[in-house]
Amino acid sequence: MNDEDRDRELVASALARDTQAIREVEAAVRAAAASAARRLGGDSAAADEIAQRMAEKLWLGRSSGGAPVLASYTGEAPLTAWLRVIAYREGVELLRAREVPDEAIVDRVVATTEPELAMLRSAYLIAFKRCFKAAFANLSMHERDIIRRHHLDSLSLDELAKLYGAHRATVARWLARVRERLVTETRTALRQELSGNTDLDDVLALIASRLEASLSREG
Amino acid sequence: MACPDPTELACFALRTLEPAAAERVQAHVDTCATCRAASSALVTASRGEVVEGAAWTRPELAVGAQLDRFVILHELGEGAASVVYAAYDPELDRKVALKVLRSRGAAVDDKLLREGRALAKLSHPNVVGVYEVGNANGQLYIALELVEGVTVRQWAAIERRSWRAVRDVYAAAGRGLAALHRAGLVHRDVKPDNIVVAADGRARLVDFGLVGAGAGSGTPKYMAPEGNVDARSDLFGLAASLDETLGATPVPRRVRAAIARATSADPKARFASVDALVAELADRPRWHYAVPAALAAGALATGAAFYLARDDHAPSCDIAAPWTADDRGAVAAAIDKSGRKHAASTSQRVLPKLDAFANAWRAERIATCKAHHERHDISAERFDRQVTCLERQHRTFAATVTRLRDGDADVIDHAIDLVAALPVLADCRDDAALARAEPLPNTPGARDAIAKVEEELARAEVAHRAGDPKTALDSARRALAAARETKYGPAIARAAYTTADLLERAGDAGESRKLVDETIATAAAARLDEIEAKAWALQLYMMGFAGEAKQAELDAARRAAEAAAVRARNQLIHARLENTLGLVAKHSGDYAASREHYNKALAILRAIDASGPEIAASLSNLSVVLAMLGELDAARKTAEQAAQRDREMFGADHPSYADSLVSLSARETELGDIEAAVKHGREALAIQVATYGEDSAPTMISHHGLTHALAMGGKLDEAEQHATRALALAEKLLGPEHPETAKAHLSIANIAAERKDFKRAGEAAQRALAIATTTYGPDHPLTLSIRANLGIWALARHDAKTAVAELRPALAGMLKMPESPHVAVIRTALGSALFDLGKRDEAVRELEAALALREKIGDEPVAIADTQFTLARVLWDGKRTRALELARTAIATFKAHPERAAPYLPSVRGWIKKTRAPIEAP
Repeated sequence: MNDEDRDRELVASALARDTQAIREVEAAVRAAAASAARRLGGDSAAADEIAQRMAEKLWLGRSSGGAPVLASYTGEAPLTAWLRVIAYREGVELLRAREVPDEAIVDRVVATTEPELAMLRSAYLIAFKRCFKAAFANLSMHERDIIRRHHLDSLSLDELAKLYGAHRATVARWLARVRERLVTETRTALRQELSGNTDLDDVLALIASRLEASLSREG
Repeated sequence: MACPDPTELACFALRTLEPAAAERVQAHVDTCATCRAASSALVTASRGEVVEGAAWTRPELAVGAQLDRFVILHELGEGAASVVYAAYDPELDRKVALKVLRSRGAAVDDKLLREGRALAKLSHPNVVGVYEVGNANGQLYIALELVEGVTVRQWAAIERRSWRAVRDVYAAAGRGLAALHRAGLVHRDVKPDNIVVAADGRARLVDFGLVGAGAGSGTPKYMAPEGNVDARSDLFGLAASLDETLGATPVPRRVRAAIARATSADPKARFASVDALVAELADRPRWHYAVPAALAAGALATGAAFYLARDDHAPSCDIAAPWTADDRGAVAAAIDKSGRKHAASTSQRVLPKLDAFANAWRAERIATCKAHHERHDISAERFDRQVTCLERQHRTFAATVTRLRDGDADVIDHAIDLVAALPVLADCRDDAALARAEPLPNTPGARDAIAKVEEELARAEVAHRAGDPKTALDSARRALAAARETKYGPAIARAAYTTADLLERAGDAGESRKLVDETIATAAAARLDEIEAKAWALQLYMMGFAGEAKQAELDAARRAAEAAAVRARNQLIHARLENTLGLVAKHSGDYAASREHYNKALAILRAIDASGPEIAASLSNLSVVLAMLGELDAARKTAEQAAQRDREMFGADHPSYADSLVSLSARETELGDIEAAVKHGREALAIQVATYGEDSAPTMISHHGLTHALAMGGKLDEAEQHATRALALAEKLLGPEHPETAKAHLSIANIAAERKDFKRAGEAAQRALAIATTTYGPDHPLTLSIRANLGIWALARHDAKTAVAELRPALAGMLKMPESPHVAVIRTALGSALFDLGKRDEAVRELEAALALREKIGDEPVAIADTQFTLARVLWDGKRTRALELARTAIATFKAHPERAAPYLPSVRGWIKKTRAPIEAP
């Protein structure tokens, strides 16, 4: 019997009021709630609250038309994963977790790329934001997904590799390529937007000299 | 779209969702941050929050690693709980697909092994062959038939298939499935992704749901509603897959009816067996289309219009052949004009290879062009990459043809090497590796400049293979200078690598190392994995031979080289790296490790059916190291294989074959098969004289090899003739101070010593010693061994003073290798000489040390007896009891080995007579 079959049997027994099975499912619910709370920046009180809300839905079906949500578990996904999705959604609702906007990626990408970009950003804050947003929208769906998961959800390369079913090195390459695209397109768009502004070349010259300074320090 | 339900989102994150649904969820998470973050939360397992089904750490098996007897070649793919590798089975000399699985606990693992063994007994053309299953230290694996093909899903996506073609594939898969059922097995997960269509069109079922081996409990979409797993649910899966693959293709009504029946919700309403479904799908005399003909015609019409519209501005794909009949004639004439004896057989080997490359290149170039401009199978970007690659290969071909056409006899001697090094067209198809590399700039000027660099570089490489190192290095330097001006990373990396390689060969390791460092950095930045791997290997080679690198540095370089070779997905580079590692290990004295590396190189080369000189080279290297390990029989067999391959590749008249005969002869000499050694030595000499004439370096080397074989066989007169000839040639061709001249002097010294002419032996050895000391330095093993011989021969002519003077420094130098049998030889001789000079205590010390060493390393009995007897002589006047005991033991050994003991017997008998020792003389 594989893991999913075992999970399905566990859930069936729990719904049939088998004490041992209920205990096991409850433990899994608590673990899922704790994990969601942790990811959403909540404390142990938040974890308890998430678990409580989950229990109401899973066993009693409150707010889902009366049928216990647990009965809708089909065994296609591992029980722990299934519970974690539910826990995470409850957590978002409970903590009114504000979605981190895509704009937040700017800071994180800028932090991991050349200092040139940080300079441009501080020099042309508003134009820069606009250009970055355009470049971001220009990415493919997959490219947006990988960069959001990495920079907003903080998935590591290994975790991304698992999610995409690709090798770690492949994922690293994708990520580098997307960042590169973002940087290049932002820079090009910025250049176009500011063309006629003679300042830009001065700024770039300044950047170049700072770049050298930072490189020579490393040596 | 509304948020997916928890099951769907969880399956999405764990990659168990079917592709279409996964795409839907993917589109949803693009706009829903909560669902995206929720699915991200499911893969953070490595943070101590284990999610079942995702807690699988993939095995990291490097290329060349071994799992039981299988040698890993490269990764083929990765599933949710398994990684599939291409591997080589050395026992059966075949490639296999090796699926390495996540363990699911002992009980499940055992069941998997049992089921796997049952499958291994099943042999059916439409079921992928299961060769064996096993457990290698907790890694479960299944060795499967390696099928080059695509899944039915991909097959149907490549081009529109007729319903009959689809039906045929499924009927074949159905026959395989029926065979599985007859064997009492169930597939569990029949779907379009688990049927593979090979290049020859044959369909095979793959990825049977062994317990825990496949997707587990099946894929929902193709799963029968009853949820049971049996033959009828497999039937359901097959029909559901067929239905999906057919899609909207018009099919006879009865086929739709058969599918409907096979996918009935009630298992009892389905066919009784898969065979029954297959029979129902077979052709009937008449049928009716289920889809109106007008609709089908409409679809065809739009397709044609689209095709024509795209074809309007497509350039012509009529590519000219890369060489003409004139070129061919000119190469044939140049080979003929060389006047070499091997010209005819070289022509036979070279011209067809050039023809084959030219034809294949043109076909490949046309196919690439059509794939882009006519069939639109490949993107403009990919087309550009492949054409760039093919054009680069064309430059190498053109440079090769030019060199051959204009070449003299020396170039023709290398003609076979030149064609063996022609590029491999398939390398230009490896899209993954090509796509990684930095793309060409788009301006025509820059492209022209890069093309010029590549032309010059091709000339350099061809000149090097044609045995013209000076032209090669000049060309490479020019190419490098021009490459730097283009500022194009891949061009700089290629030129820098070739220049570094040629500099190293020219003996300029200093400049070479600087360039190698630059090559590695440039190649890594330009993501040119192949060059990076080669550069690391060169770095490793130089580090190993300079001998100054720490083990940690060598290991780091080795890992970097291996990683780059894996990324390059090029087995040949991998094999060459193993060969380099073998050379480095041998140089550091680790012969066992060296043997392992050569064996790995050979396993890879055989697996990829390497046709170039690499297999013979690795065999030849392996043979030398086997000889050093004392495995003389294996060494000889390996040398025979190398010679055999060279004979096939180059022909029986070719000097390259003669080189391998010289090596073989040396192995035979070591083994004591003097007859064979002399035969092969003479054969090599004849080829070299026929090719280069009597006054040539290869001829000299052949004389030298023959000298050694003949001397070992006791044919001293003949040996001396060859030795004298080798010496004369060495002095004439290389000068009186050359190491080869020293070797020739030494041969003559050894022959004189065999004749007991120790005076002449000493004189000849003195001349060798003078050269060796200036060329190699006083501490070199060769210098030391000459001194040791000088000492031993001085002792033989009763010049104890000279003997001690030579043996002492020889011993001091040799002590760097304290366990060498040479140390015992020198100590024994030194003990004897010291005793002759009346230094009895010192003599005892040396002899005791010699005896202890010989016993420790398990030296030959007669050698031990020699030291025992010498010690007995020295001790006779003091410690007579011990002396008597040693002498008795030694003499018993001498008696047991009468042949080998012969040289010692006169002095033993003389001593018994003189001392009247109570021992029976041997």
